[in-house]
Amino acid sequence: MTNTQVNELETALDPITLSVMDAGLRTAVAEMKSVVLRTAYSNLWREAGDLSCGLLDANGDIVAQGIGDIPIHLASMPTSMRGILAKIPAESLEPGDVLLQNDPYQGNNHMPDFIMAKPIFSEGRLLAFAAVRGHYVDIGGPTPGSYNLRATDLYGEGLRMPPVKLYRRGVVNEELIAIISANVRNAAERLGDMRSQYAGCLAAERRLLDYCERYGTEVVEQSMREVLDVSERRARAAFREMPDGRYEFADVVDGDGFSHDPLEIKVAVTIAGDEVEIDFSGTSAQARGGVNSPLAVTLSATYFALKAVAEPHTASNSGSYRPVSIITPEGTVINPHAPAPVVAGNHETSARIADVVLGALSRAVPERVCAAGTGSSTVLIVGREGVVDDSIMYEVHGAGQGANTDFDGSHARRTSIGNTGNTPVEVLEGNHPIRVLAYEIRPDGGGAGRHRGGGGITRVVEFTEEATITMVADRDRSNPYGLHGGLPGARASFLLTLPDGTEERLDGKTVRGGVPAGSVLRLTCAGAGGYGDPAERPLESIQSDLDNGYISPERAARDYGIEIADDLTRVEGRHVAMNGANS
Amino acid sequence: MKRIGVDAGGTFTDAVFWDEETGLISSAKVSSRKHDPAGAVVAAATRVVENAGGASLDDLRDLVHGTTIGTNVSLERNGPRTAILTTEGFRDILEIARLTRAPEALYDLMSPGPAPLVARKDRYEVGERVGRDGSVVTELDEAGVREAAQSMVDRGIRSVAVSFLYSYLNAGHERRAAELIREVAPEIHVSLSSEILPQVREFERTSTTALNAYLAPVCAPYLEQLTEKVQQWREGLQTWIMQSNGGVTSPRRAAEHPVNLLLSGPSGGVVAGRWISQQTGIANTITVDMGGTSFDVALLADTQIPLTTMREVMEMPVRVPTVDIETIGTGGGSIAHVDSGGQFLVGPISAGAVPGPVCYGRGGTEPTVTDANAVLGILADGATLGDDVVVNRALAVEACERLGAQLGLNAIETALGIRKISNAAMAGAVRAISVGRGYDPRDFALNAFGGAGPMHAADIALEMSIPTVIVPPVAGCLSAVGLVVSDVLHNHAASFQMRLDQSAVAGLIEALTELSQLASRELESDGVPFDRQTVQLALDLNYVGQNTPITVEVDDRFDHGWVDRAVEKFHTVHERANGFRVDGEPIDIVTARVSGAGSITRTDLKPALLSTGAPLSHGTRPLIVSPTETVDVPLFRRESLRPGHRIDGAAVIESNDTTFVVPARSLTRVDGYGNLLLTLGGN
Repeated sequence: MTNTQVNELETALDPITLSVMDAGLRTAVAEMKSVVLRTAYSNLWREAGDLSCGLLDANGDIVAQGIGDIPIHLASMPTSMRGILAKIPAESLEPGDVLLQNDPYQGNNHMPDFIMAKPIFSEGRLLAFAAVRGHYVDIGGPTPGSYNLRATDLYGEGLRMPPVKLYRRGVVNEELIAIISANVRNAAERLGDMRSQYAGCLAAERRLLDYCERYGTEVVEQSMREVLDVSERRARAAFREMPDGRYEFADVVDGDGFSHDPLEIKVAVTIAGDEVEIDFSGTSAQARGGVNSPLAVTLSATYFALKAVAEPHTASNSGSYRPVSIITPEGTVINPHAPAPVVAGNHETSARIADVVLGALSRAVPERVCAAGTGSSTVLIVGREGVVDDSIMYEVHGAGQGANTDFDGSHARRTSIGNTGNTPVEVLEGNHPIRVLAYEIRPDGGGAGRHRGGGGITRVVEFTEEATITMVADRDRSNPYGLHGGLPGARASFLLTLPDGTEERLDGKTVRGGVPAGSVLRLTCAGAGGYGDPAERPLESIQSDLDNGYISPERAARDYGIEIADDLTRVEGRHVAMNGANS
Repeated sequence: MKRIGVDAGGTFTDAVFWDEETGLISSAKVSSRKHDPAGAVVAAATRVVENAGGASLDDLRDLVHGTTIGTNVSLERNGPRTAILTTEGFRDILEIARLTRAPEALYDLMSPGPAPLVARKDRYEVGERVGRDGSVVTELDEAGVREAAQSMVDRGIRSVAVSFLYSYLNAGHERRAAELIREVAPEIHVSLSSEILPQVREFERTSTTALNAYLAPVCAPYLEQLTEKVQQWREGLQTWIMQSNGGVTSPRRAAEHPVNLLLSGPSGGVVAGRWISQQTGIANTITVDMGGTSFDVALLADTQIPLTTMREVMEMPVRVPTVDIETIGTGGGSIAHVDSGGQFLVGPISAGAVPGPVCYGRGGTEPTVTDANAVLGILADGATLGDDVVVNRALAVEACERLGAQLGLNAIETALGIRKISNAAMAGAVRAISVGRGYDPRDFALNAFGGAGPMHAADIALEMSIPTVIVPPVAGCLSAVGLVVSDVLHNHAASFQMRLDQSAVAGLIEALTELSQLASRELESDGVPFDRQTVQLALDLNYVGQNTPITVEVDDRFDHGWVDRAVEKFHTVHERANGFRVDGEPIDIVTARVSGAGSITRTDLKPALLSTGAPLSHGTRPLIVSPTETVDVPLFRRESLRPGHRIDGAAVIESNDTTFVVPARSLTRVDGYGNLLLTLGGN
């Protein structure tokens, strides 16, 4: 890399200082995150937390990440940072500079996610970057929320920001702000979020400089290097414990918004000693619509799946991924050529990338991998045409957890590459032209098995004004897989009922303008896969699911081969599960 | 007048006997009784009176109790079967929660997450709907409520949380549902979300209300039984219960809102922190309470008890005002180890009470923070702790040696490392609660208590550039002292969605006045006369568009400058907490808050006269301060130190319940109240 480490310590830090510094670096990122959350403006940030914080070293490697951040944001921070440094060399950075970009073809994940990075200087040299990546609810383009699934190239997906200096020596570039403001809906909210990103960077900078003052800049630099080394050793130790071999898996994305032709993601995971190679050769060619996954997203999703199996409970940073090599054939849906559109790749295709890597690993370490989760963020965006400063609703719904060897899957819990939450109904209705009629767990959504998959959720929304809606969802034509005999989860479905009673079954990837007031959308995300043979599920577990309404009597009878009796006097519920004639 | 404070903890129940004029008369410690906690309270009270050596009981007026009853139920998850009644279409609010997985489970795709507090079959839906403007959209289905209540009876459910959408704007349906449930089943305890937490955000409101419903059937009988036992012990003695907000209330009111008792225990320590702050005249203090398994830290700026509404219990949000304590899992029992990456770590696993640290000789094998202190001489070899534990340094040395072998360190280096790493973790918690919120630790004193707090306080203070350390007398049962110096306190709040400008004033005055009257009535029903009541007003504010409000105190003058003063205060606090302010940006009012305090005791003790002369040391103690250096430092017994005594430089000050390690280049003096005040870097 370009930067030069002067005064490099000759020897390693003692283990005590390293441990102290490691905790300190993580405190700095935690503080950064709390500042951003406290000061953000959009529902998506302040309520749902669609943002991530990281501390990167002068090379752009991520050293510490915010606890509970969005996994897909994090492993892609180094690629975004390198994209910036390729255009704005480290030598040209000065104290007070702040960098910004969102370009998927310069290392970023997708354009709504803007990364802001502040170089931190100590003793006259570049020490680190504080970076906050957040999802801007709107970045322009033809549809509110900027999930324009009709785009066939990046130019149709909104404002593209190459690496730029937003601040130069502490002075904000007002012209740049003006350009951004002129190109996005509800600029006041965007600028509020941007201000919170900046406040977060400042908080991390202050903390890191405190450490430099107390422990010395060299010690801080050295500790950042060694924290990465420790993580590398942990990862290698974990890989060594996994059985060597080549494990293959494949799954699909349900079309690109133009065609329903499935796009196949194929993977071969090779574990050899303490290293892992992941090869996506054979994956479908890049798509016409925006389900392409730029390289940063593909790497992030792959790292995420590997980390979740190998060592889920230790810190994640660039060191964790040094023993991993990833083969990503160009021109495919997991490494498209510019300017292919990418907006939905970030959480739909990426979820499938994680699913196939997990699926392959389930063949290596079956007891450590759960069946497929919902596998889609299942985003609903609601906006109004032509309304100045419209507050745009962006809500995720993908929430079923796959079953595993020990537990049933949770019904309503984000899994996989995202961890964006929901917005309270009482906040949503106050800000957007909707009324929520129901928000509940989906019965019969989870795949049957010795352990049952999570059901996922259903939301029923009535539009109180004419609205433009965008759906970005997957698994409406394929099912989340079960494992080791477990059945797959149920598919997603989206049903729009117009005021005159006409029903429209919407595709998972839909932009639908002019939805009249009084229309009702029933949005049901996919369920999650089951684990193990359904015949092995204890009768009392099935009874409990019946009593709680997680499963209908019809499905219980069908999936588990049991008989259901009716007992109106039973206080816990009228259905009684009994062993069937064939058991 | 005299008062007794009884602080029930997991292992011990501590008591202090207190005279408003002269302070501490006696203290006592008895074992807690899991199956008879009320019995342990009376036993502690009996013991503390015995220990008083014949002090008159004629003017004994109050017994103030800090309880862990709610905490225990929440930790053991052994509360009763509980139901929820909610708006049709929204039965799963509690299980859906905010959809996210816990931060520490980010990469954990296997863990099932917390089980819902209320089983789905016990979440009853009923037809009704209030709109976002508070108007009724769908009338309450009264037959549906009756049917649900009957089903609860059939299932043996004794407690229900009623939480409807927008009930904070219009509580009519919730109140009517409560009437109907009581008609069908008077034995069922009903918790209404519009009473427990009348605020926007249905999940948080439902979660707080559901916890209240979960705790009520356990807490109410306990409090009733306790009051009865106290009456049997000494008729006419008034019982008070410490709440999570740092104020006490009557047992009757505590039984209605048990969700306010979840931090009853730790509250006492923070109240004591405020009292010590008033006593020493040091307005800014950070309290650190270190015990066997955890380290609690709270920041009291300008002698104010810090409150938060952002706590979680049983992985569920509890949004009632609660003392703002940060807890990390570093305690005397935290185990040191080396992980698969070769990193030297302390905690989060704890040796707990059993087997406990290696030096206790009860079968522990992995070195803990306490073992490091034994190796270094801070805990004396052969010292007796509690009833039956004798410190065995040799065992601790062996354990540190074994661990050190993995790191290329000897036993001494390992022990020093364990202390350094755990001190850094505790300093990190102090940093988060001070610097992380815009406070400069150099403006604060560290108030250290708990069995292990004073052993580490000076190191933490040095790390954070905190100039002063206070070690209060009776550091081992300080929470009980907090109980006897506390006020009655009730918090009330109303959701309030309006821009903060002159047009809002009329509505605000109305809301604040109404809440003030409510607070006053509650204080009166707790027996606090009007002339002993103080009411404080506050507003939760944020910049329009944000949604993490900041609570800003406001006055009740309501004159022309009232809004401007509130606005300026908000900008200032926002800048301190978040690093920036946006002048001219419009500000929203989210919540109007009123807290009503009733003063029921005097807290203005007179200081003792300061004696001159030097304290007598009890010989010296060899302390290992570096891998190559052992220093003999003077050893003092706490009870032989008198107000006015000064100690120059390094020392070890031992008392029955803790050891205070005083570093070199420092000055320690004893103030008129018996507090040890350590000035670092002084001479």
